[in-house]
Amino acid sequence: MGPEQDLLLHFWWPLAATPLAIALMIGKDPPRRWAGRLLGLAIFAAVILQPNPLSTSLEGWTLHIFISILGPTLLAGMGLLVALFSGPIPVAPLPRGLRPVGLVMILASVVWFMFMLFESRPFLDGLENQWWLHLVTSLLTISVIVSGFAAAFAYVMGDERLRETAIMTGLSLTAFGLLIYLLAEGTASDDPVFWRSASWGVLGDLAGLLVGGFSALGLFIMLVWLGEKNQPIPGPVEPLSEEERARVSEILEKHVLEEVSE
Amino acid sequence: MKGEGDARRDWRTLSLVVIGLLVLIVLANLRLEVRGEVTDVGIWSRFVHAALISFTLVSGAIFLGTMALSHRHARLVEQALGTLLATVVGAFLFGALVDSGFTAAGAATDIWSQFSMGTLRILIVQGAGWLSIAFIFGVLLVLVTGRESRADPLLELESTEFTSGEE
Repeated sequence: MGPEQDLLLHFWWPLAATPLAIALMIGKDPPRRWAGRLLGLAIFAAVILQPNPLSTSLEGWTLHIFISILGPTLLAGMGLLVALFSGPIPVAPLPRGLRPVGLVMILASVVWFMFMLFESRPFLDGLENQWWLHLVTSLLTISVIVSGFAAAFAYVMGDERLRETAIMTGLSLTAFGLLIYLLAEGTASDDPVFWRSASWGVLGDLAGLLVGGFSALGLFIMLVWLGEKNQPIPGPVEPLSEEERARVSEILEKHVLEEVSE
Repeated sequence: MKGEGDARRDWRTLSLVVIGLLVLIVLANLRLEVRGEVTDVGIWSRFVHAALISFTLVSGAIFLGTMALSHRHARLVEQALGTLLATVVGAFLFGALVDSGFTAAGAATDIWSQFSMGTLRILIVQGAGWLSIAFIFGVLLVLVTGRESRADPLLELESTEFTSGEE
């Protein structure tokens, strides 16, 4: 099999089949759920069993960039869960003393990411991952907007949430400052010109992603609405059979009498 | 208690913040691009390609989900046919656009190369988006749930003693 067929089998096919696997897995009847699990396993196996090195294709580099940030991502996720479940909430199976550990884990994940950004850009087989700039500028651009939204959300939706609002605003400003720094100064491994080009391209991709994705969702909502509108008026319901009538009477007598006696 | 007008004002504030930040980022990029020293990335072609690819992929994913979740009593003809048609139209439009010479930089000019490059780009943007949303709202949740609050005095009233079993 040639490299292009390998990519179709080990990257594009699993990517296309993922929505089908997820939908089957959340289905209600067991045969579909099993089919979904099997399909999920097949997708996982197909991706894992890549016959070619990741550094030989753009698809491989895409997998590599996600693998590269797995460490800080998992650390941040674990830190968030530890901090959340050791806080003063009713559902708190973890001891309260663990909360600072969770916060330190979150901070450590940010430091790890910053180290990757300024000191150790992800590389494989002696080559630097070309998606790194694209990922970082996407992450920072979206973080500016999302944390700004979160700050406004905390401010308008909650009472006395000024501390949360201030921290979210700080996150937004930090992400914005970091983005501007990269665009103006660059990093040791990359000239600012590359950062500017990446950031400029990401704006086009991000806007296109939002416009295209939300258009498809809007169309789907319209189709569901049309489908519901075209449903025929339900016909008259058949009267209860003797057996059903007896069962209903039995239930009513039992419960209504109980309520009356109380 | 908040009324309907309050909710509208709140959402208007949120929308304004997001739009303001977007404008700020675009202005920062424009300012730096005006200073020169930037390679030609073709933002307009990137936008159109990303929009068409995203439309096609999301419609295709919804179509697959519809087929997987359909059952005997569901009447999903409009939904299934509509999403399938949207996927085909999206793919056709993308192909026609690339054939007409409207290509994005960074890949060969054939349809598959343009499609795969665009898909990989939006996959990474989408991955970054989910990471960012999970991290920021996770931190917000940790902050919100971390606040120590005084016990509600109403809970100390005798009528709220649910454990005694006395009516």
